[in-house]
Amino acid sequence: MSQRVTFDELYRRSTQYRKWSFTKEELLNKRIQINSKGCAKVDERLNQLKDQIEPNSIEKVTIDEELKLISFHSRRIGMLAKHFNMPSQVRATAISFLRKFYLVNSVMEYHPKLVLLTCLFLAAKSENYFISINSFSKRIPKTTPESILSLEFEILQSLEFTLLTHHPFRPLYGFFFDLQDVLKDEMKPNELGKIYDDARKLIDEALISDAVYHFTPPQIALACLKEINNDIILKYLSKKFKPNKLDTVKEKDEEDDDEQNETIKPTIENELTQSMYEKIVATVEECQKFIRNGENPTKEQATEIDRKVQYCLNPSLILKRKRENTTDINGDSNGIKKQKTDSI
Amino acid sequence: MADVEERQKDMCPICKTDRYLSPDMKFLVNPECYHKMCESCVDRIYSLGPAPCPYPNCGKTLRKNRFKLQIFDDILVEKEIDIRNRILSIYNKIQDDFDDLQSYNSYLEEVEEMIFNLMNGIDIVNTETKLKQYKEENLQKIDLNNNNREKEFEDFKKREEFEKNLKIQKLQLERQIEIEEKQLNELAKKEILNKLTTSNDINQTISQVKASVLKKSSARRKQLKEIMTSLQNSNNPQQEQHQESSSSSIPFTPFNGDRELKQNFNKLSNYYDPFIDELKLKKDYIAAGWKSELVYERILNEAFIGIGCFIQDEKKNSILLSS
Repeated sequence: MSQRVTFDELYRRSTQYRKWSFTKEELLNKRIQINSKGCAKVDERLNQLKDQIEPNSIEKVTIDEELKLISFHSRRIGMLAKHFNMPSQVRATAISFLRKFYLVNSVMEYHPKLVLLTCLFLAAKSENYFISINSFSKRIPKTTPESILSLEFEILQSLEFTLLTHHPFRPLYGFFFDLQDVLKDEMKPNELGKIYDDARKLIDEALISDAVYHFTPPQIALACLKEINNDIILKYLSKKFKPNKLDTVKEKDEEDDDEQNETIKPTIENELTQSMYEKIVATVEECQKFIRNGENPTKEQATEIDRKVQYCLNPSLILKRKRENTTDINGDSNGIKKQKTDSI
Repeated sequence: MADVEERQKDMCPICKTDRYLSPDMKFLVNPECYHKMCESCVDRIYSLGPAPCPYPNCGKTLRKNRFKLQIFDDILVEKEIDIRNRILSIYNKIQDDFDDLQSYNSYLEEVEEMIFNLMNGIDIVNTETKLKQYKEENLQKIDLNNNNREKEFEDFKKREEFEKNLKIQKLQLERQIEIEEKQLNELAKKEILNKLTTSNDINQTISQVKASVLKKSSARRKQLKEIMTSLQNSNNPQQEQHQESSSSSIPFTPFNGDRELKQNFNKLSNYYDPFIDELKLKKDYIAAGWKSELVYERILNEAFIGIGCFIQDEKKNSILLSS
């Protein structure tokens, strides 16, 4: 019999692990790169209008602002999905598409408010919740089927055609079941049900944080659970992964863990399962930090950044403003505000 | 040119009789030299005993009893089939006679080599002696295998015959039933009319007549049912074998090897979950093959897929390795 593939190895073969999992440094480097690419694009646009605008008149968007804007629009996907009555799987996939898209492109190249619509449409398609493009665009004001579809291939290309995303929802569900088994003497099922419901809401937060790039779905699910009820999850993890329990059931579990970690030899079994437990707890706690520190920019912040992005994307707007400036000094701010509210 | 060839194909080269003139002409060949000639020529030349082949430059002595009907247009095919039959009646081992596939394959290769040699006239003397030697050495085994093969063939024939008969019987019965039913219906109509002239209760008479009709036709139905079951039974043994062989083999997986069978959790038969409990009662779900155990298993499995992947560490290592 040929060797068996462990479940971890299975995950390592997914595109989510191979293409969309990064260390913190990698992720930061990527963002710096994207930002400078976006800035270069803006300079290029300015160059074309060299004789009309001076090069430094436009304020560029920083990495932090880019992140804030993307987070803001990720949250808008959630609202839009609710409007369409879509399952959480679709919503989560759409958010992940949008965020991955901006790991390849800058907001100074494509405005998120356009990209997010296409992402949602694409996610609905790829998650088997099909809505025809006509009925989709009919329910969103100021769109046409063409305006949504025009970005579709762009997004697919940026995603490198990897459409399958593993979300923490199902692992969370799995832990909900396994908790019922492991802690059956200590917890009532409906108490666990409440923890589960709360943790599920927290997952929405996790999807917008960078946790999805640094942790696997089960780890994120555990982090959400632990955030809701620290003691119970620690108890669960220690029962599940700690050695030296007399209980036969738990011993069996340990054996399974050993196999999962491949490298473990019988002689140092206990030591390694011990370190496995510590490692998982450490990882989950690290993940909790990410979930806690998710970006949640206010609408005012977002509109502020959005205005900058508008000028970056279309420098000729500055000319328009100047013209308005000369005719009516007071009308300036009003004009801009009007634009803003239209665009959002 | 092609026309001439076409005509020659349908013409006996000895007496130049054309198929155009005698449409039921048959060509015969003799395995000695495979020269074809028509039936009447064979009768004419060989009825008095062995005689040389009439083809120029052939000169082989042929006998009438060895002549046979030419089935394939290409004479080489005809020749190969004869050689093959001859060799395979001697080299008649089957795979079960060998310990492993390797030796069986090399045996097959050897057989093919010999056929090829005889076919193309390479090293005929050696091949013939080899054949003879093998035949002498394995006389008993050859006989046994040949007997087995014949028996199998006979069994197969018998079964086929049996099934065929059953099918014919079934068809006949069905036809008969159809005809009889028609007649009965007509009779019933007439009877109803007749009785209606005498009696007053319409419904009762009609139901009476109908019941008597049903009784008559049900006897035939029974017979048909019996035949159907025996037909199914004769087919079944093969099907059962199929099922056994397919269920024992491990399914193909695109991964290198197979998935881990040990699971990271104890599966309970039931969990507390209002959502799934509700689905359990839905008839359309159950009818479509939905099972709560499968849902539990899938969801629990996903909880542990990737729990031991520590991206931060692993990716760091891979970066170090690549640089």
